[in-house]
Amino acid sequence: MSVTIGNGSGFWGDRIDNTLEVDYLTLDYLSEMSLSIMAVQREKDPNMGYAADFLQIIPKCKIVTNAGGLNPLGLALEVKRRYPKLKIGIVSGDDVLSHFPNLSTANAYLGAEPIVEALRGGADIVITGRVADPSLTVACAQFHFGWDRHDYDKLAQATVAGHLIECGAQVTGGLMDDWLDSDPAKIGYPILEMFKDASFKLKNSTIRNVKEQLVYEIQDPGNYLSPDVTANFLDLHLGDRITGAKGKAPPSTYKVSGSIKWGYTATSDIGLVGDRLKEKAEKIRSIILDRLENKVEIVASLIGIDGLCPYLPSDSFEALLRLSAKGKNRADVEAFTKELAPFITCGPMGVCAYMGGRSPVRPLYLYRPELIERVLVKPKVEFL
Amino acid sequence: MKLKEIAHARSGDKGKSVNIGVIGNDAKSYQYLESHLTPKVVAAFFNHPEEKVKRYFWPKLFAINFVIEEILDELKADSQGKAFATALLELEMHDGISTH
Repeated sequence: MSVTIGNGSGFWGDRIDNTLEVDYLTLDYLSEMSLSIMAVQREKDPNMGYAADFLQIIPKCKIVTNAGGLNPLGLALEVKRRYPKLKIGIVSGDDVLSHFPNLSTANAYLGAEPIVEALRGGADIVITGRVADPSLTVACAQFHFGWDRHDYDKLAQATVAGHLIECGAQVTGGLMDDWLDSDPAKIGYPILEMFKDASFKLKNSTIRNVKEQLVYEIQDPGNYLSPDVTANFLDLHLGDRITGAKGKAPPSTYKVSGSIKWGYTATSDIGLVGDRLKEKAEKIRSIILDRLENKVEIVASLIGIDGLCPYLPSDSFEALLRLSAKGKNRADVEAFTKELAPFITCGPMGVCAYMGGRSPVRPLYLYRPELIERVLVKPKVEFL
Repeated sequence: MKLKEIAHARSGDKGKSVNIGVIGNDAKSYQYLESHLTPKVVAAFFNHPEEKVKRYFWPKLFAINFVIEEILDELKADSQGKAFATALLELEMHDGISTH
C-alpha cells in the first residue's frame, strides 16, 4: 500500500496548485524572510501575520501547511469560517521571541511531531507556524504509516522526500539547463508516491532534476540536520524508487529563524544605453550619495554588464542601472527614492526606461539564525 | 573546457552563505572534479577568501557541494545567490587546471 503526497506551493507568492490528486497536500509558504514580512503586516494589524493566499485553497484531501506564519490561530479561524464542517488543527509554540529579546522575530523550526499529533487528533487541515519545510511531508508519511518518532531511517527517507518537493516546481523542471527545450509551460507541482518501507518515487521529475534539488540549500550531505532526524544522504540510491537514506537522533537544539529590524530599504531602476556605462553608473551613484550627505548606503548594480553576475562581466551597449539603498531612518530612504527620476533630464545621453512612480520604502529586517535547546520549546496543538 | 561540459549544478542560500552543488555527469567527471575543482579554484573564481570555501564530497551522486560563507549581500541584485551555479559552470578548466 502506498500513499501520495503532493506539494502545491513552494513559497509565498508562488502559484498555488489546487489540482493535485493526492492523499495529502502540503503547501509551503515560508522562506527565510517571510516571517519578517508577516511581522510588518502584524504591526499594522494584529489579526494578520499569516499567508492569506492560503484562503483560496479548496480542500479536497488532507492539507498540511505552514501558511499560519506568525499567527496560525488567526488563519485557522478564517479557514473555519469558510469550512465549518472541517476539523482544523493548529500547531504553534514556535514563537521563542521571549528568549531572544534583542530580536524582532524568533521562531523555532518545529518538526513533524506536533503535526502528526494534529493529524492523529482527526484534523482535516493542519495549519502551522514555522516548521522545518521537509517536516510537512515527514508528518504526512509518519501519520499515514504509523511510524514512531524513533524510526530514524524512515524519517530520514521522508526527509529526503520533503526536501525534494518543498520548493515545488524546482524539482519538476524548474531551474534546469534544458528549460527552453523541455516544454516549460507544462511545469507543474511535484507528487510523490511513498511505500511502507519509506522508499518513494517522484511522479513528475527526472534523475537529473532530482540530483540538483538534492544539493539545493544543503551543507554536509552526510549530516543533514532537521528537527525530526539527523539524516545521512550519502548512500541514497536513485533507482526506480529512491532509497538509502539513513537517520539518527535529531540535534538537541532547534534552529531558530530570527530577524532583527535594521532600518529601511528601497530600490530604483533606470535604463542606460551607450558607452562607458560603468563610469556613468558610478557617477550617478556618487551624485546621489553626495546629495543625501551619505545618510544612506547605496549599491549600484549594472544589470546586463556585471550587476547580476560580477564574476563573468560582459560588455553591453545597454544595461539597467539598479540602485539599492538602505538607511536607519525612513525619511532618508524616502529622500533616496526621489533621487533617480531627475536623471531623466540631468542624466547622461541614453538614459531611458524609468518606470514611473516612486519606489516603495520597505522595512529592512536582517536574518539572524539562532539555536535554542529543545527543552525550552513547547509545541502546542489545538483544534477548531 | 568549461565546467558545464562535465557537470551540472544548482545553488541556494543560507543567510549570507551560498551553497553550490556541482554534479559530475559520470564517474570520470567526478574524479576530475575531486582533484581539480578545489576550494582554492572556486574561491579564486568568486574572488573570495579561500578559508571561507568549504567542500563536501558526495561520491554516489558524483557531486561535490561547496559552501561559500559570507558572500551574499542584501543590497546586491542577486542577494540570494540564485545565479552562482550558472556562473561557476562557465569556469574554464584547461589541461586539468583552472585558468580563470
